[in-house]
Amino acid sequence: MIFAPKFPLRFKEQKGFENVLDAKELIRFHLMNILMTSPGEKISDSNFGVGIRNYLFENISDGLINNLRDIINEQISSYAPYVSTTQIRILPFPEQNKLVISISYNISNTRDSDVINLEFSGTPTSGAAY
Amino acid sequence: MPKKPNIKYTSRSFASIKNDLVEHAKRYYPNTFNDFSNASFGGLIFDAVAYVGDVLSFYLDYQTNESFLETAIDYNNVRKLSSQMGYNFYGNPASYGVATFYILVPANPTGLGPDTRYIPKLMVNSKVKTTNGATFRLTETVDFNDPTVEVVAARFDNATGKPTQYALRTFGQVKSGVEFLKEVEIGEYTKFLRVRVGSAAINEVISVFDSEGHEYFQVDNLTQEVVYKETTNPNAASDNVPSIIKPFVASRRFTVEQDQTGTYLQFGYGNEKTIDKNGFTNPSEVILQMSGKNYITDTAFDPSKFLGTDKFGIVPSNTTLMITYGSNDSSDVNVPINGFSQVSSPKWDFYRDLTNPSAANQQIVKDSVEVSNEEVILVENTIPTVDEIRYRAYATFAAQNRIVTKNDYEAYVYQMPAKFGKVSRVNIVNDPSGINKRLAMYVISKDQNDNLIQTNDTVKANLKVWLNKNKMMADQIDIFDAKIINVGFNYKYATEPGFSKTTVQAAVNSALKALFSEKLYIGEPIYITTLYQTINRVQGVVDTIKVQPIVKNSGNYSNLGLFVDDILSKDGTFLKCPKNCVFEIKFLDEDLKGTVL
Repeated sequence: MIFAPKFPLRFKEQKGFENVLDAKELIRFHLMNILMTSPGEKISDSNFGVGIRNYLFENISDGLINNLRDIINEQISSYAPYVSTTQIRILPFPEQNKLVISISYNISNTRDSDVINLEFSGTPTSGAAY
Repeated sequence: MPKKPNIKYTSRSFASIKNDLVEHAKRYYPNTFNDFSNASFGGLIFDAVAYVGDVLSFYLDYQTNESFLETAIDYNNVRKLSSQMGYNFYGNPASYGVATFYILVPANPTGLGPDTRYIPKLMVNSKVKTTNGATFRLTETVDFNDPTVEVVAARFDNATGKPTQYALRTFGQVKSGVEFLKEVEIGEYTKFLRVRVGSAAINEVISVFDSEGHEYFQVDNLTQEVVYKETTNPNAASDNVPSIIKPFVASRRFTVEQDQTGTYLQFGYGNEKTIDKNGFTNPSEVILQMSGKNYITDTAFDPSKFLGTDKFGIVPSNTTLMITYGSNDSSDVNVPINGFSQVSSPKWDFYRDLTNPSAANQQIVKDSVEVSNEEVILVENTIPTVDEIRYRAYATFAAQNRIVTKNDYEAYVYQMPAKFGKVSRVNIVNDPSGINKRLAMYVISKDQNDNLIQTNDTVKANLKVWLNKNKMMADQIDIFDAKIINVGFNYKYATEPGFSKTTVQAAVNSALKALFSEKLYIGEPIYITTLYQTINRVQGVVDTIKVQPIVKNSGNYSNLGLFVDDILSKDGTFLKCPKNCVFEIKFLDEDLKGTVL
């Protein structure tokens, strides 16, 4: 049984803070945190995070994409060891300063697998969407 | 009764606080929260709380450390804590020296000698300017009629060849800085009134009067009620002592406090109704405590405290304070030879030309005045570092206003007020050539470039007077200049493969400069092994192969004619410093030369 509050926090009378529904939802939340946190941002661990926003305005090349894929893979292995990635697809849209990332993974100790599709855009108002 | 939470108060760092929080949540809230991964929302919360805890721990440590002189690092705090222990220093010190004054005086009608009617006095507080704009004041009246004044014929009549004017030369003590007057309106009676005088560069509060004419006296601390006042000695000519010191009860008194924000006068909280004792007193009367008991209790003896009052002096109220203070008007008050340019504000007294004064002849004399200096005027004007303040405070505290031990003497020398000049290093030893407990005091100062220089003669004269105040009656002290031995070191070392030799050399240079950043003390040896250790500790150095000391004897150095073998210990591990000498590595860039193998 997972006891972890759903983010953003929602408080319900009698029940307290609303929890996530299942492991898939929690893992999606973890993966999004890993991707969106910039290295140095987390106080206790300066290596934590991919910092995907830093790549949105980079000069996109195959080398950069491969490098980003390696970093994502490494971060997930380090900070979300309970999943094993099967595929990471990165689709760049340089004209719109946008990256679409699709991560397919299996959840360890279960036979469940899932795919998370995240879209990161350079426009100020937009965040990740999945 | 609710059970007290199990809190580990010994956890103070970020990691330990976070760890405790996680353990606490796991133990007490297993059915509420169990997502402890780094990527979770809980990770953020734990981080944030541990962050706050760590910051609180830091400030707790900081505040505690800053409460003790041993561990304080903030300059103002160290200064305040030292002040509590009795060590104070003020502002940019004044420099003292001797100026040479020249005037032309018309010849007397016979042409033999100057006309004495037009030989004036140049009065105290006349001002002279240096070429770099600093102002100096005469601290004594210079009488050109004194028999020691040199007189030479300077101008001649072309027709008769007789002298028409004579040049007179004499000397006068000058002191850097100018006097400023500040008026401060004081309102209603306020306990422990604190008045800001000006910036932290003030080196002397000269006088404080209120609008009713009462004088306020500066004391070391507000419990001190007695000041020693100078009064003119009527038998000065026969005694050869110009002044007599008398104890004076200073009901109106203040202390001077200074920090980096400015200079302040601190008053007590008495008023005129509660304290009316003021003026010269008979110590044998006021020091007796009247008691109805048939016994007396032994109380601590303090010679500066005669009266029993707890009001700390009268605080001014509903008046205007007129505060006269002294401060340098230039950052550079060192004067090279012939560095004085003009007598900017002379005050003349033609006291022999009163019956039938000649304005024209007086004007000739006034217009002719010139000033120069034959000796360099230097002052140690570097502000003491935190460590210097700390150690001087310990020594001052231990001395307790009495000079008995060697440490007492050293502390008291450093405590001399800035208005009398400053010495940078002092060492006191039994004079090897003296008898009857003679002591030899060796002193040295620093110039504006932080290099050691011999202490100015005027500062030494002031030091003598200053020490006489509290020294043991039987002690006889000779003050000498410490001799500077300029040394350098050549060293060789090997670097690890893969390290840039240039980078390692820069790091070694930097480490050695840090080692010698503070000037050594008089008589302090230099351990060559320390240089080996310092170089070896630098990252990239495999081993130090050789450190070769050198005595610097060329033009820019002290040039005592010594050789290394004269000062090297038998085993070659340190340089012995005689008790009257001080080692100095004058030019850190040039005197420490390294070779990488």
